[in-house]
Amino acid sequence: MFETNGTNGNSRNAPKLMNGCAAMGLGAIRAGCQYVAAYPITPQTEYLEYMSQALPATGGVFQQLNDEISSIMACYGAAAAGAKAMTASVGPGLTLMIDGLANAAGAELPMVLGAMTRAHVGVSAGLLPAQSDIRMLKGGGNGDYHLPILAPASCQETAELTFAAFVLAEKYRTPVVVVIDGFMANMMEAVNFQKDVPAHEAWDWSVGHTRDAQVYVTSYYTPEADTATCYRLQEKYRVMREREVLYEEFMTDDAEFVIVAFGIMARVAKQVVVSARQQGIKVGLFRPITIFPFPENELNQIARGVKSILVTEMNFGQILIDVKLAANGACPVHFYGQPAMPIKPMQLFKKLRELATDGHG
Amino acid sequence: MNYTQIQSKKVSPHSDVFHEQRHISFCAGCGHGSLNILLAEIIEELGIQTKTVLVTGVGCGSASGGLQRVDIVGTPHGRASDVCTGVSRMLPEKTVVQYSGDGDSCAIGLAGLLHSCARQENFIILIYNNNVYGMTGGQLGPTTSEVVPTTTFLGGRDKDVQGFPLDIIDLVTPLPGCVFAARERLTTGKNVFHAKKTLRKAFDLHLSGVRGIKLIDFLGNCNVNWKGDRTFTPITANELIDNEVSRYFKLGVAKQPQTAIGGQQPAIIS
Ligand SMILES: Cc1ncc(C[n+]2csc(CCOP(=O)(O)OP(=O)(O)O)c2C)c(N)n1
Ligand code: SF4
Ligand SMILES: [Mg+2]
Repeated sequence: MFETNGTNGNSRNAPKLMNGCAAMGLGAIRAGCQYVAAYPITPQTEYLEYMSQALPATGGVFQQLNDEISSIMACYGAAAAGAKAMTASVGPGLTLMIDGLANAAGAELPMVLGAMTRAHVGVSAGLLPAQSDIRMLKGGGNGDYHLPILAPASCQETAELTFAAFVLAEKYRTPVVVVIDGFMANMMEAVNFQKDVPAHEAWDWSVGHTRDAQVYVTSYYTPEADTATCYRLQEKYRVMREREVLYEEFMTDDAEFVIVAFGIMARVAKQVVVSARQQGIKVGLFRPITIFPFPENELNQIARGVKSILVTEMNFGQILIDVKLAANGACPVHFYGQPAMPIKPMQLFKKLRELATDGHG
Repeated sequence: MNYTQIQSKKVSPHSDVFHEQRHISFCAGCGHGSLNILLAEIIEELGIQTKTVLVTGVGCGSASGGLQRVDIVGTPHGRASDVCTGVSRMLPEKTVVQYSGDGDSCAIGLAGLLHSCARQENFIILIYNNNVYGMTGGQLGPTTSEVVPTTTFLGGRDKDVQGFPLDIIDLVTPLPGCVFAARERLTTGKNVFHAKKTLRKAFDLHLSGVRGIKLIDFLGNCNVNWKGDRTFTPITANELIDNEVSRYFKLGVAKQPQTAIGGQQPAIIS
């Protein structure tokens, strides 16, 4: 249901056709995920179904809990106990998880959250895909914190970046989000992902692994420790901004215009760049892969050398603010977005041609 | 703050499980202190100090995380049962204990608690039931009985507006995944001693390998923040529990496995 063998037959090394949900599961299993607690919601359900089989097969525990609040908090418990934990959800469920995410960020508990995004506001406006919820996920809970957000653009990259999310979560002791839109969640592509990690040993700060000293995992303790936590978190974010930024540039070297897009919209944009180049429009693509930390400096460099930037998203502007901040007035930043369906290459091309020909860029 | 800070070298003469030289942030005469002493003593008696993970909810009882010398996981308000689920699933050989107030467990955390019972999770739940949100100053909660004054309903529960008090023992007893349910009171010395025996039963049952939730609801005072239309001392507050509150909330063991308790000493899982 989730995957079919490619033409090379059954061997482990053969690429498999998988949708984004299953690819996310595969990346998690390869990264040594030990615990999943979740609540079903379209289009995340195939992740659940995949993990319900794949996780117990590797000795992990898969549980369905009563809601998303309990799910993320059970992951908080599993992480506190030294295990690699993950959950996944969609709009309304992600909203319920924000409290748990903020608490896990504050208590410095590593875990991975898969986010499959839809167009609706609350539950109004439907089930169709959109690249929404990014602003909420970046730090929608209380307090000054950020969550690393990884935005893959293919099923292969979904597996790779889910794996990377576990590494990042462990390295910085933070929840990490992998976000794909509802379209990618259900879209099938060939995936070939072999990476493995050595067997996981519970972190020495986690509870339940008898040592001499008592271990205390919490988001608060004493006033002094609380304040120290605030500064320690900020220092972590500074280091992440310095070291963990991921992005892709395509034909930006001599570009007069640059399209900024993430996830599936970056693939649409890439096609448009290729065909626009054939028609003599000097355009390139800049794809943020980490939405936090955002490739701010890199994009600022680009903004200094182009006539204008066109941000295109399958929503009404979730990373637009970040792009504007990065451009910092160096060039005009235009926006073209729609929810519910990826913008078609022809639509985007027309928009780009308008910009390229109307003189003001 | 109403808190009387008592600094003591060793709180219980009987237990090394307590941290030395920690400030105790419970008010004088509050049953949270008694419950913490009982817990420390039992952990020590059973020799499970390094095999116990204490998960604290938010409320006055969260201070127990600073007192008990065992591994601690602090949680946000109402999420202790969910966190215990993750901890105990990943550490099935440990004794995982939730320490919550009545607000933490029966108001904001009720869904997580009941579903933990339904899933037959394997941990111990201790509720300090003072009939109010003590830490925030004594407001009415779902467990407030008609006789306890609160700062929001001065004379106690107004049935027309707030309905009837919720009895957690009634809720968990029918669920097969809850294998032990009891109510005790932390009032007189005799009652505290009785409570200890029940607490020990829950731990023994857990250590004997009987899977499921073991829940004890401890009626205790909030002598400082029971202050609607009258005020209390620790003694008069405890009298209110013994004479009136315990009429609303039935005392005793409501549920236990037929065989596992009593008889011989259960084996301790190492
Ligand atoms: C989500 C959330 N809501 C409200 C609070 C405020 N709050 C802190 S402690 C508490 C009441 C705790 O009452 P209870 O669990 O009965 O413990 P007690 O202090 O009475 O022992 C509340 C409402 C909070 N910390 N978090
Ligand atoms: S429950 Fe009441 S008496 Fe006890 S420590 Fe809290 S405020 Fe004080
Ligand atoms: Mg209370």
